[in-house]
Amino acid sequence: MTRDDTGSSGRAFDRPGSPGDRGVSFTLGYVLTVAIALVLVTGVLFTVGEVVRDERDEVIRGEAAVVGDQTAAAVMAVDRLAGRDAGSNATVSLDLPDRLADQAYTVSLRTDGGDTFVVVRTRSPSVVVSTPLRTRLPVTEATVAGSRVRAVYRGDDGTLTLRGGER
Amino acid sequence: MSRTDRSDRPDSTDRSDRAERLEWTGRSDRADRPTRTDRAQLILVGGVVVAFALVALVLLLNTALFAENVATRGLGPGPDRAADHAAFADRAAGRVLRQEERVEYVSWADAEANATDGLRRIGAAVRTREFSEHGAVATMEPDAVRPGAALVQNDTGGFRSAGGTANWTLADSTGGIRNYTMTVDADGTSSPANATDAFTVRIEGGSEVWEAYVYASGSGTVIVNVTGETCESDSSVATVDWTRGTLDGCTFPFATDGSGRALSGPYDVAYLNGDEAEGTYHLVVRNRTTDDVETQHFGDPGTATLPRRYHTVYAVRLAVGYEGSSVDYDTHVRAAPGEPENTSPAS
Repeated sequence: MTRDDTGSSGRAFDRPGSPGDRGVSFTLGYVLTVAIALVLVTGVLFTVGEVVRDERDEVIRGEAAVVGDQTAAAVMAVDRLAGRDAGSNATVSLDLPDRLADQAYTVSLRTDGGDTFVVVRTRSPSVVVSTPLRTRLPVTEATVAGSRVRAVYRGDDGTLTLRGGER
Repeated sequence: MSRTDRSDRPDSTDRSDRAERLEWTGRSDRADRPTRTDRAQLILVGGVVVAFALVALVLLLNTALFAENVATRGLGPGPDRAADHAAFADRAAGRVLRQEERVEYVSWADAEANATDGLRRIGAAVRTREFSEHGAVATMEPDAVRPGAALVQNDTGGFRSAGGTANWTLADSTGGIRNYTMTVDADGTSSPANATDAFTVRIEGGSEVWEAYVYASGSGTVIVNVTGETCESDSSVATVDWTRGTLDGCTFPFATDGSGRALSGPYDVAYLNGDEAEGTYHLVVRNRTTDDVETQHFGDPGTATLPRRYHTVYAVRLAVGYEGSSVDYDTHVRAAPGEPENTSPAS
């Protein structure tokens, strides 16, 4: 008779009446639900975090390239101005961003063999961007903190260099 | 009853939560309620974090935009204006000296005072203009004015001294030669069989001697012959620029060292066979001492004698400064119009 009531043994098993079956299935289902949700949300968070990190590195790289270009332009402008006469004094001041994507940075003038570079560097993340430039006057290597940067030539020294701070 | 309602309500306002659909123990309220609360927290926290990440992304993109903006600004006009100012000072000084050459000064003091005054007036005008238009301080001040003598023959005649000598020295151990031009008229110029017998311009600089032979061709033109290289004029009257080494667009090497640079001084200038040609000339030599110019061969300043010498400014050195918002520049500019290129200036 019970068989007739339930229709089939399967239905009797499916029916949410048997306390033992429900207990096992529910716990499993709950754990599965939480686990899947956790994996999904963690995945999303991780991906978004990666995207933001990548974007930040890219932005710092882009900004560093701009800072490098501007500094190189200033050094070459001073080279042109000072090249007119050996006893000249020339200073070109730059107003650069205080920080690159909230990271402090340094600007350096470097020589390697016969080549001259402006190197912009941040520590965390570690980004190094170098911009090549050409000058007629000799160059003295220097490193200054970002923001206020001056390209300087003094007739007494006879070399181009970078200085920081106000002029 | 109320229990059942509570459990049913979220079902009716289903948020398409996948876990909700999986639920088959719908009436098991006690276990169901905490599950939903947990799920909501997870998604809420996830959403908040994603929102923060998006804000960070926007800030980063804003920074990138700012960087691009900075990139388009360049250095500003400061350095270019400073360079323009120095170039202007150079041109202005050159014009003042050319103007000075046209005035036959009898005394050096007059020549110097006039050149200095002229340059100071230009400097004052430029200073006012730069300050009012660009807020920059631009200065140009005569720093050193070098004495010179203009030696001229401005009427066509033989290239003889005032006393009639054909082989003679114009200047001896002079500090520089500039703006040396000559016109030669083929009609009064001989065409000797041997070039060395022709009218000769001789310049000696350091230990090198350059001689240029000037003679008429058979077809009524003028030929300049320097160490075998010749240039021929287009017409019967030739204009020769000795400092540049040109004759009617044709160039010849003259008074240069092996690498094309001007000879180093001091210089001697002499004419040989001066009665073999006719024409005019004009040159400015730098007086290092009072006896650079062979004054006995020239008429005094203010007389009508030809050739004649008079005082002028050979070269001027200006102290040029430019101070703007982003640039600070000071330099020296030296002007000696018509001086051979690559001359190493003897201060």
